[in-house]
Amino acid sequence: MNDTAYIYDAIRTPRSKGKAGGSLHEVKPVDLGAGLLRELQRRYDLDTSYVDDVIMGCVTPTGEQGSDIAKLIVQNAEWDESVPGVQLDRFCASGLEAVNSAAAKVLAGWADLIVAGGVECMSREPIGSNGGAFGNDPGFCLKTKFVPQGIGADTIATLGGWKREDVDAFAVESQRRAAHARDNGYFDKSVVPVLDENGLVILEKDDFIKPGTTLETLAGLRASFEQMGALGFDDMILSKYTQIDKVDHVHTPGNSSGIVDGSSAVLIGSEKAGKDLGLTPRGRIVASAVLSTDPIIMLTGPGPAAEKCLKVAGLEKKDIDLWEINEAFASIGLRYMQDLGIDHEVTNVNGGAIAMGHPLGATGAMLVGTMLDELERRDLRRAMVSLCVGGGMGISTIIERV
Amino acid sequence: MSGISYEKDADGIVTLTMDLDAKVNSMSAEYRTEMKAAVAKLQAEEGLTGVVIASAKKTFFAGADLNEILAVEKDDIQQFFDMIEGMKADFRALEKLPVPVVAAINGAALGGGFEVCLACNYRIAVDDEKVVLGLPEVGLGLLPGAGGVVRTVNMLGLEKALPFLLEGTRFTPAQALELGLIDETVDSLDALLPRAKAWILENRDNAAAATKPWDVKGFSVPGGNARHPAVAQLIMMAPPMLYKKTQGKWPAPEKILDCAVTAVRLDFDTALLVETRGLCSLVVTPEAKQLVGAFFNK
Repeated sequence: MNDTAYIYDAIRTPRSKGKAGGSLHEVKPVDLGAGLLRELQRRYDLDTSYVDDVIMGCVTPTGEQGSDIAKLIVQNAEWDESVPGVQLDRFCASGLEAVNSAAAKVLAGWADLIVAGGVECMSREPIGSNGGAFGNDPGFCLKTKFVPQGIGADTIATLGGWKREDVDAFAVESQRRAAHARDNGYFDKSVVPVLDENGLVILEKDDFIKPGTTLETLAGLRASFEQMGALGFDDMILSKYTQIDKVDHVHTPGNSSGIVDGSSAVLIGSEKAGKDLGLTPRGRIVASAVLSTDPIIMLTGPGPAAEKCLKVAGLEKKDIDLWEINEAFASIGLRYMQDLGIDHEVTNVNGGAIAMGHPLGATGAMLVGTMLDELERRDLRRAMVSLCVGGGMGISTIIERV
Repeated sequence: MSGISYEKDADGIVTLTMDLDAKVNSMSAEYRTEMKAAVAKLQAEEGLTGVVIASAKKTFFAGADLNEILAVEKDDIQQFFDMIEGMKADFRALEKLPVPVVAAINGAALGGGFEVCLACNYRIAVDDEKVVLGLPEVGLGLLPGAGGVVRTVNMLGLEKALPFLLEGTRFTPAQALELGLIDETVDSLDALLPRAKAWILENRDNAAAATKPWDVKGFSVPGGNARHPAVAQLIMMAPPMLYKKTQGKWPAPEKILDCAVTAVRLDFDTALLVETRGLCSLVVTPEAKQLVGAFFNK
């Protein structure tokens, strides 16, 4: 048993458009992830044979991301051959699930040092290309009333009474905060430039952010899920949510998370690991929780997950200084704040996935780093990280500076 | 005197004749400056019906400037990268011109010289044994980094392109024609330019003649991309088959294989960028310096 699962460092790649033409499209997933492992090794002159495991979230583990990419990243980084690796998939929670699993193993005393993170090159292995019963198995879809997440997000907005202007305003603020944070160097400690095999810089900083975004520019975008909803998905979800007559389709590409490429890596270990390797902890994992809510609306899990996580930690809302909710869609952020009764001033203080993008399997671990950096910058103590997850799940982790 | 002369005839066809200030035409600094200027002029040209790229030397074009290759050190890599990318941008601009561009291949076109030809819409060569064609870069510890890997793979498919990319095979015009690396041969030098111009006029209203297949929406690589089962099988077996030959001693064919697979995995322009990075990684290797040095001493 170990008393504490420390966070020794948390790094990530910059994020860029996850389509052909994006700055990271040319980079193989095994290279993107390996760059971060090599950076951890470089920063701490790390004896990689000390690492017990590398856990990487990846939501599209097929093609170039198939075959347990975590282990392949370890090999590609030329880490000691004794280091294992495992890829996991809990949809959008994968990166945070990796962190939580690593912390649990360290706390159990089964491991002393683990790298937890994720990788998702959405430009090379597009979302959904790994198939699954979601959307591909009519029997299952009719039985469970499967509807795409965007329809769920629109329904959440309708139920919450958030109109197009409300979700767009949330998106504008995400862009403003993210641009401010990037341009003032708030991410510099964690963002590791992506280099090619010659050491030439491919991408230094996030380039997905659109700083000039205004309510006016967003107003011109067309609703993404209106047509799809009209084909029948709206009827399916309304059969459950009878308190509303129709789904107000408010989400557009401008107020939804961006499709991007990116990777993350968090170094989590015991006190012993720190002493053995001369590492100074930056924080610790206090508690984590995962649960599920209604799978049809799919995205209402984060608030309940945060409540559960507080219970696990024996803490109250007032003990949390900063809150981070993955901006899968604007309505998810609005719902999270409403569910928990928290203010936007302390939530997603440096913007989120609407501005910077959501590399599915990598995002959760990225948010741990974002919060750790910001707690240090503001000299605060605790943060809650939450994500909405496919199948109605929600996940949360509380981190604390030490 | 200009290293690349620019002459427009009454039919609106511009002939670029390369006669650089050296024994042979190569991708020298002079070439790069002159070609950039020529491409810019072509883009602005009014009443243009086609372009012929020709050589005033006995050979068409010799390829990279090997002195330059030999001199590149690790610290120069960014500069080298920018230089290659600049040259490739001009090739790309050339193939995106709205008119057909024809390579009139009068003599040997190897390596970079053949890559000039590959950037054209149509290649006509004199059917003569002295007209040696191909991409022999691998023999110098390098890869065809001016589009040679990506263009041949996109023209012929991975299965057909890999063998000659990995072996650096040299072809006669007849062999190149059969393989599809060139489009036509003529019997004599005298017939070359007239035929090049005639082809342009024959294709005056044929948009396809002025467009590269990969710039047409819906293009797919012949033989299939990396997801095609047969290609996936080839990708799986290519590493051991290469290793059996090289025993892991030569970085160039390994990098060529990786870039060629990238060409069936990613879009054309991204693959070109990856190819440039691959060349940069090879140009500083001891293997390349040794092989290029040995070439000079031959």
